[in-house]
Amino acid sequence: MVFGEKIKQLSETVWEIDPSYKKGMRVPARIIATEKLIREMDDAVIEQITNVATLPGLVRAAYCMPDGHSGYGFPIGGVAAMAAEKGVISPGGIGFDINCGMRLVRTNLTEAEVAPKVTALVDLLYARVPAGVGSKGFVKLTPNEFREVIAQGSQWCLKNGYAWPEDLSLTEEGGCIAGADPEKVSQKAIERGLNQIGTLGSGNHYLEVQVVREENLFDRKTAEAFGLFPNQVVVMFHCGSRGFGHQVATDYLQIFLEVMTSKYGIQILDRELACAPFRSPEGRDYFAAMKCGLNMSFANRQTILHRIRECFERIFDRSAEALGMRMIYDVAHNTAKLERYQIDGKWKELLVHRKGATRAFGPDQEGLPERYRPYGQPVIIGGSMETGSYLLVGTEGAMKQTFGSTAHGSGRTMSRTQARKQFRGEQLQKELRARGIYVRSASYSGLAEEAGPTYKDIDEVVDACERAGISKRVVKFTPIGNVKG
Amino acid sequence: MEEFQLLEEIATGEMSLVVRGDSLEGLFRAAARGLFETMVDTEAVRPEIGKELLLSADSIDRLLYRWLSELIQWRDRENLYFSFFEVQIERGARHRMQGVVMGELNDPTRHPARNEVTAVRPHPFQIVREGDAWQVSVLLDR
Repeated sequence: MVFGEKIKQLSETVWEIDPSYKKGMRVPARIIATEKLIREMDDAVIEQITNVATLPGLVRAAYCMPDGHSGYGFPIGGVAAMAAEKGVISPGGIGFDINCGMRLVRTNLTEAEVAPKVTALVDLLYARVPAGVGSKGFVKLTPNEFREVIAQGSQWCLKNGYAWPEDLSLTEEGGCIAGADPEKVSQKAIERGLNQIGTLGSGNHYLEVQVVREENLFDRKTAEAFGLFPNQVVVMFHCGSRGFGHQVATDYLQIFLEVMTSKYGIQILDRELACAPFRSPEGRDYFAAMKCGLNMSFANRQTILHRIRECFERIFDRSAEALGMRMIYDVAHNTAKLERYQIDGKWKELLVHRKGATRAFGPDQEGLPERYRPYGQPVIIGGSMETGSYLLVGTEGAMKQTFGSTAHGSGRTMSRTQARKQFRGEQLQKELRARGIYVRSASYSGLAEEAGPTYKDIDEVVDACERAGISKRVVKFTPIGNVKG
Repeated sequence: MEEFQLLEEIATGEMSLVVRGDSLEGLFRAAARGLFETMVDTEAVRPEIGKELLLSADSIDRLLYRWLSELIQWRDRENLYFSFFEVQIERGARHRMQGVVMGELNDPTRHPARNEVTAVRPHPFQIVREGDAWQVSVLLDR
């Protein structure tokens, strides 16, 4: 990585690459990171974020969050805000797993109550929440019913007994983004997603039983406001829109590749940044189809929550209500959404692409649940199954610096192939057990891919976010049980 | 010659297949086999269920992209693994192909999963011809 003239340090945690770095850059690229993190980033991150900076309509800068690593077109951790009227929309800036995201649920159980039953609990969760390649969900749907799901998101779940009313108000966009149009989704995508509601999937998707340790409570007041207390058990899970989202992205990527240059004259440096003007027919269609992916994913996480509540009820012989299994929040980290920001003193509508980046709205922002407005938006950051995860809150600093965005996780430091060579899933499972973390996985090789050292130091990532002022630590959670996809 | 190689080290990216064939048809067959070999041991997949795919594209590399994307989509839609691939390509102003694939339903007891492939990346995706051999590099997303 070339520091000095090419990468300038603007502050302790903000690094800028000037538009002169590469022909075609319209704005600078900015990386939010500590010096340690930026030096550890693969060189492809620099190439990718500066490629993003060439896209039409980009406002202020192309950003990469502290957990940035190379991805499809955009780096994972990429944030790009486009002027709605003049800018483009790019599937590569959203990610194939549309609305991959995190959900955090609290309980009123303590570690002392759960620890003796954690094996039975995790075994039951593993049996009841399908994980791994080709897993099918318990919700049986016809294609027309699936179209209702992707139009209505969590509202469909509420109507069908898979949600509590309160769940929806604690989900980004109320669990149903307006403007989703199933007519813009291919039959292939419908058929691919049909059996996938209620499934975790594979790769880095997981479901984890975690504990709030006294020493890991960083902001007691906000933690209390979110219903958290020392020794409490919470459940965190990470998944997205499965094959459905991938098919929507694949379909529109092909359309964009055909029209981008021939119809709209857009030249890009990397085909993975295929895009179309946001206000074009193709751009509008993709936006409406992408929103179906958002809703599918909200519904997926909601039905998984329904199953989790059933599992806890069975193991602890009390209703989910009595167990206090209320949501803290559900937040997407692969999206593009229209939001309003002040640019040069004027309010403008921007299409904010977040790919492996979490919305991190500060206090008093519209769109936040009323009860969270004094504190800011909960930001759920998943770590590796060995190192723990975080709950942060969004800040005014994020609104000013990064279009209300922050990191989404640890970010990989090692390829999956390399991880499989270096670690053995079976051995890792035994070692984790000895450390008090009971893990069930659909495959040992998949488990090896998720070993702690394959990810960046999550504490360093969170520290960078906090030092940059784009989010603030509330609690760190310690895993005691994990279902790995 | 119809062969493929799964590349081992690609920074933090995903999987990459280098595929070779002594004809375009051979290249398409080898790419499909390589794709499924990254997911499962295709030797254990019985050719019991057949599918026919008719595809077209304005370039050969786009046609290969569509062929592999279509196979991934069938895998997900019907929970199928494929192990037999036959391809006929008609080159023209718009290239057309007919693919016949055979396989069976995923049975986790006989088909332990290797990787889940969710998409084929369109870049870098340039088919090159060296003498009588065709070669392409394909990036797979998980």
